[in-house]
Amino acid sequence: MRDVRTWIEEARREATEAVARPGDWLTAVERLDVWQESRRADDDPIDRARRAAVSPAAVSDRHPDSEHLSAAAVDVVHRVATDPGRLIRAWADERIAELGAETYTELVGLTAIVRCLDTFTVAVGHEPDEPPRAVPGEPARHRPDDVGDVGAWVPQSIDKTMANVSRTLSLVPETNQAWRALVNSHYSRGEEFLDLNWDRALTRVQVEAVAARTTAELDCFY
Amino acid sequence: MLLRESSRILGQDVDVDAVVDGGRPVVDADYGFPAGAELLAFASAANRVANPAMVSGGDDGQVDAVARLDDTRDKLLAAVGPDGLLEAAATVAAFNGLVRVADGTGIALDDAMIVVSSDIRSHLGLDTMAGAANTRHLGVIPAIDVAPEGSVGRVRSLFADRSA
Repeated sequence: MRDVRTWIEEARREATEAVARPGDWLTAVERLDVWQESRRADDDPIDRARRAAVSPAAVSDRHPDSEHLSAAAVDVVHRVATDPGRLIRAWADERIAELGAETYTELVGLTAIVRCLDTFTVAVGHEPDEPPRAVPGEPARHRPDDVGDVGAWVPQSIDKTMANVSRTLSLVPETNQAWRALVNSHYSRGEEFLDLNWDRALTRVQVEAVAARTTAELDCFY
Repeated sequence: MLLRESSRILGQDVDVDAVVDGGRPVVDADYGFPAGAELLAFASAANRVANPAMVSGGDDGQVDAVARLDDTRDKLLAAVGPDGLLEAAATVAAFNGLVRVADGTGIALDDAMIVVSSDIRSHLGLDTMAGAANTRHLGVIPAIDVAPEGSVGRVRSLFADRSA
């Protein structure tokens, strides 16, 4: 059996390196800005005011551009980072109109990756990782052929054998690969996922209880 | 759904209401599975430190949250050991990402999930959440090609890549 600690460490290192490489539609410096903005959002007064408001739409203040990201892109990162449970389609449609569905999806995926990386660090009690240096180069700019409207806000894989949560980032394959490797190492672990009585340090019930508590606290319906 | 299915397999009577209610007291609470209080206290503490916008009380609240996380980590380590702590931390981390890709891309519940989760969604009042709007046919039992049978079928139909 593969050593879980090593598996997680390798996936974290690979995901960190992936964030610092040119991605699907964003350059490396733009992707690394996502990481910085995700962290900045935690102490941002606009985000805190939105979080405290009855509706996030009640706060009209807007984030400025970051060093490498437009204001619209910064808004996506901050909203996904700090108030994901109250995102609505009208807001997403506005951002997608400004950024394009591909870039929007890449921003969402990168925010998820860096929150996963940073949350693990917090949970185990380590100091935050220093983001690596940006790797020069151009994004892949590849839109997969097998994506379409499957009812989500962005095009996703039309492969009906996949659960919706497994195809969220299928529009951006470079980012999706790094994301799925993280989820596989940290939680699902391939075919082991199908075993409701798996042989891990925590039972399936214990793991799913932690998962349920986390999704509840982040107001996630799915 | 996976919590309920796995608890059924293991013959444990898990208090699902308490699991998803972070406001309930956790000291010495009995959630119906081993180390439940330690695991859920750790998960809540980690989520609050990792998501400071969720923490009320400004900087003082965040200092309290960090101290609480340190305390709950120590207690969890004593209860489940270092490998168990690693699993718990990894799960919290993974779901901090999963909720964001789910909510950020506006996915709907899978048809099979609508069927098998209808009672628990109703019981917990989940259909009033903002993300429920992405599932347009809530309350309608969708037609699915093959009804998931048995625990493996249910799990595979919900989250696993069925192409795998």
